[in-house]
Order: sequence, then C-alpha cells, then structure tokens
Amino acid sequence: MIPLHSTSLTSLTLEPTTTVSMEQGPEHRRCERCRANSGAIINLRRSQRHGTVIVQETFAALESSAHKGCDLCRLLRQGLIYSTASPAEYEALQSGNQSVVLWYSPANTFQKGMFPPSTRDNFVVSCSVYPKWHMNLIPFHFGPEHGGEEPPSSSDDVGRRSGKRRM
Amino acid sequence: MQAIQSFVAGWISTCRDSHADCGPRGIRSDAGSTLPTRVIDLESSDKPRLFITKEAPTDLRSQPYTALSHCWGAGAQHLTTTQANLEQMVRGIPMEEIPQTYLDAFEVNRSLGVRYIWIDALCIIQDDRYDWQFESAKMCDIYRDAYCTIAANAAQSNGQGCFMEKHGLSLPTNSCRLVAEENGHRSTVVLLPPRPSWKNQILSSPLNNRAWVLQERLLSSRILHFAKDAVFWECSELKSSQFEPNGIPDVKLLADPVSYTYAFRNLTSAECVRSAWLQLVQHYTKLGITKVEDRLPALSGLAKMIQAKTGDTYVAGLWKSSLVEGLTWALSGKDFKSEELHNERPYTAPSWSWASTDRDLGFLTETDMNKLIGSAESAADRDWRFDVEILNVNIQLAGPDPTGQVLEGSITLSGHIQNLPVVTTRSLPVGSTDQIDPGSLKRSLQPGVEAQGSANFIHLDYPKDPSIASFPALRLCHLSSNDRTRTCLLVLEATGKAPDQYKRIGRAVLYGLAPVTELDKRIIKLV
Repeated sequence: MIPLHSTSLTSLTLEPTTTVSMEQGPEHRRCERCRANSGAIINLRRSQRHGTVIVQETFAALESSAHKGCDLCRLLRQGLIYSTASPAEYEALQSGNQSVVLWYSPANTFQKGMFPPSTRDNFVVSCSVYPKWHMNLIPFHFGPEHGGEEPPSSSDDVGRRSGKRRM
Repeated sequence: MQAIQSFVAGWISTCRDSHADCGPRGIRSDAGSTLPTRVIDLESSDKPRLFITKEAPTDLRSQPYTALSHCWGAGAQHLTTTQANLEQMVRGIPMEEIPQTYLDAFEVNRSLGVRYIWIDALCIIQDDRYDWQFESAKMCDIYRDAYCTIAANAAQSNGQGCFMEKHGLSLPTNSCRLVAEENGHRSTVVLLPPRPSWKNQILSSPLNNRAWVLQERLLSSRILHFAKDAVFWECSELKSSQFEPNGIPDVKLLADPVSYTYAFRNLTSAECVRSAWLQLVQHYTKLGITKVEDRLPALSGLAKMIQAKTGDTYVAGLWKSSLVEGLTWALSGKDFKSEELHNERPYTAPSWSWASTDRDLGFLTETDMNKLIGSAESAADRDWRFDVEILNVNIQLAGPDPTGQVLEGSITLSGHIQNLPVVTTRSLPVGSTDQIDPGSLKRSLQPGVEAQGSANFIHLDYPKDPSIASFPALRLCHLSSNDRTRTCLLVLEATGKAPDQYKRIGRAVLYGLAPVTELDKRIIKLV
C-alpha cells in the first residue's frame, strides 16, 4: 500500500544543496514513492548518460498507484499503455515483473531507432516485457503549469507537418 | 465510432477535395470505379449479404466501397465464403457467425455512408483455387480503388474487433508539475501527458507485422487505422491521428520503413524503382506469413502496380532490368524450420529468388559495397561492375496471375565459375531437425584464398555436409577502388540433372579476387 498525500506543500532533501518541493492543490495527489522520486527525476536532466529512476517495481504497482489517484503514476501508466500495440501486449505488461523506469532522452537519441522520433528532449518511461521493451516519450516543459489539461505545442509540432508531403 | 466521427469526416473531406495525389489523377484510377467481383452489401443492417457485381444492373456496378485490412488470426475457425456456402452467403450472411472485426468494419462503413465493403475472406471463394488466384491477383485494383481502407491494426484475430478498450484513457491524466530548489534557485518541470505514437501503435501493430498487409497498406489510397489507443489517418498527402488531427510531424514518421516505398507511386522508371524494391523486399521478408506458398502472391499487387508504371519484366520476385543486384541476397534469419532442413518445404520459387526461402534477408547493393569498402576514396574513384551477362530468363507461372505463384524458373547466363575452398569454423549439425545456429552456416575461406587479411565468408542458405571442401561459385559483381576489390559471388551446387545446371545454395563476399577475362566465362543455367 502506498499512502497518498494531499497536503499543500511537501519538501524533500535530495542533496546537500538541493531541495524539491511540490505544491499540490486538493486535486493533485501523488504517492509517497513519486514524491520521493521527484527530485531524482528532475536531476535526470543533469545526470550523465544512462541515469535512471525506478518509478515502480512493476507495471502492476504503477497501475495500482494510478488507480489510487497518483497523478505522476497515472501519466506514466498512460505512456506505457500507449506503447503497447495490442491487447495482448497490454496484458503481458500487466503481468510482467520488471521495473518501470524513467530516464532522460536528448533529442538526437531517436536516431538510434529506439523511440518514437522527436526533435526535442524528452523523458522516457520504459518497462521491459520479453521480448519487447516498451517505451514512450514523456514530453515536458519548464516553467509555470499549463492548466494541466492540454499539452502545449511541442517543438515537434512547429516543424514541417506531413500535410502536402511528397514521398 | 461517434467519438472520432468528426475527425474521420474531416480527413475524408480534406483528402477528397484537396489531395491531388489521392484523387482520380493520383493513385486512385477513378473515384467511381467498378466494384470488385464480389462485395458485402450492407444495405440491410441486420442481414448483410454477398453481392455479385456482374449480376447487378450496370448502373449499380460503379459504387464506392471500402476494403478491410485485417489479421485472420491463427487457429480460429474463420467465416469464409466457400463453394458450398456461396449461395447462402448471397442470400444473407448469418449475423451470429460474423466475427467482431467485420461487424466493427460494417459500423465504420455505415458511418462513412458507404454501402459496400470488400473483405478477402468473404469475397474470394477460399476453396476454389482458380478463384483465389484470379481474385488475389486483383488486389492492386481493389485496394487502390477503395473509397477507404479500414485497417484493424490492434486485433490479432478477427474476433477482437476494431474498437479496443482504451485503457490509457480510463483514468483522468493531467500534466504533472515537479519543482526543485537548488541553491535558492527554483526550477519547475512539467511532465505532459504522452500520446499514442505512429511507431508504437501503427508500425508495431499486429496487423503491420503480417506480410499480406504490406501491399494492402501501400496500395490503398486512404487508410483509417484503428489502432489500440487511437484512430490514425493515412493517405498519400497526410498522416494524422485523433491526437494530432492536422498532421503528424514528419520527424515522427522517420522510423516508418514503409514510408519510402510510397516513392513507388511517383516513380516511372525501372532505374528509380530498383533500390526501393530491394528495400521493400528486405522489409517484407521480416513479416509473418502463414502459408509459404503466398510469398509471391502477397506481393503480387504491388508488383503489378510497378510493372504498369515501368514496363519492366517481373521474374519471381525480382525485376529483369536489375536482376543481378536482385541475386545478391543473403539470409539473416535465425531459425530453420525442420521442413527446410529436410527439403520438405513446398516449392515457392527458383533457388536464385529470395522467394525460395522463408526467412528474412538482405541484398548487397552498390551502396552497401561502398560502405564495406570504406570511405578513403570518393565514390567517383570506385568502379562498380557486373560480372555476369543475363542471356535469358524463363518463368513458368502456376496460375493466371502474371506476378503470382510460379512453378519453375531459370536464368541462363554467361559468367565466371570458380571453386571456393572452405574450412568449417564450427561443426555443422547436418541431419539435425530444428533450430540450428545460423552462425554454424558461416564458413571461412581457407587462408590461402584470403587477401589483405580480410574476413571472407560464405553464407550458406542451408546446412551442408561439413566434409565438402569446396563449392563452385559464380561471380556476380564487384566494386573496386585504388587498392582493393570486393566481389560478390553466388555459391552453387550442380543439380546433376543437366550439364552446367546449378542451383543457388548461398552467397559469398570476398576481398582481393583477381580479375577475370571474357575467355574465362561459360554459359550456365540457374534453376
């Protein structure tokens, strides 16, 4: 059981000089594990290559936390569900026992063909279910919250669209 | 369907009204083209029926129809039209036997305002060999001329339907804001809700991993993809989804191995098609196919479209104008099936054609040879030459489809045959039944044949007796630069049925072979 919190401000000391705080309104709830992970997630941007954060021990744990209302688990759960291409893959994800991992992906990583391509930096949520490694990009931006409903245009959207393309 | 109806209507109207490539002047031959031989008539919502076009009044034969692209699914009982139930299907298809994917497709059809739909399982008489060959040969026209193709991407079988439960939307998901304070400086990161991507939902879908579906996708003028978590649109000029209804940015489509093959639609010369076809075949051979005999038929519609544009001659999966490059394939698949090892596999193509195998493979083109030889010199300093001359190609077709199944085929050519001595680097488990390590099929040449210390390998298509000390090999082509030459050879085995008649058993790529002259050449037949 992962307790959920709906306090208005939570602080967590990560490093001697880094403090993470999450301002949360009554509609925002986040599980204790995600609260503890938040600072590490932010620091992924600054970490050397291959830095990762284990979000949950399994996808089932992620789903459980999402169902209890954790906003970050919900978002990451959605990302992993969108990475599955069939109901069978989703079922395999549910019964898998591999960790749900988050890492940081600079824009050019897509050239390796691992991810859905993007011209911008992203976080990546992933979970391995043999023989497939499920992963999806989690876009982000800095600065003030965006109302929480509709994601703003990403830099990918600014580029040339596929409309009127001649292939 | 209601939730995405406005998106679909928008895509259809945009495509119909403003996409030149998708309309009558583009890939579709005629907006009001003739119905296929048989279609499903959905006029009656509770009793769809098989409609025989030629039995209808002439004015009813030119109607819009959709086509379904779907996975039949393994092991299940499939509702099909057969010689025995044909009359019953014309009177009415029993609703209780119609699988969910078809029912969902009917619903999509009705929402599009289209009365007819073509479904292979119902519109081809599946136990009539001639009808199957005749109708499957018309795939090019059927998918090209369909008003829209309905693709059931996420369904692994017909029972699963087009509309999947949207688990990703089952919980409200918002942006997540994280705030960090460091040295008194506060930074905020807002994680945004993800989206279903083309790569995850279309390219990785069960549907697009089926061999038959490749040409269905490429031949269709418009496709509505019913993926697991979203509906996607695809036509010649636009790819979009309900999440990105105005178009998916090009960068997100780069991973699509099929995108480049759209080039076929605009290509008119055999030369332009050459490399694109080899790439297409490489992709195609990675896809799943239930019956190995379908290896050529499942690509037949696409071959016909190219043939019509280029006028080139199709020979068992390759093009006559670029036949030598087409012979350079080597297998890259990992598993052998026991029927391959025991020669029990049904005949699908002559040994020199990629269609003679069940596994994925790669060709060795001039571009690949350039990469192998290194980048020290400019491409202009290199000499790419064919070492064989094709004298005659003979193909005997198995049925009425000129780009379909073949009974036999041969190439008569003039070239240089030499013996390649080999040493076996690992023991070859000849006589084994299953799952042979493909590494065991790599045989290195004896040191005396190696040049410049480079690795020379023979890639055999099937395990051979390890006691064989040498193989005959035919020089196909070579790329030479200032200081080195790389040669591609076909590894052969005499059939014993006629003098100078051989079959292909592998491919070799060697460094440093001495040049040959015209006098060294002889005429052989490859079967």
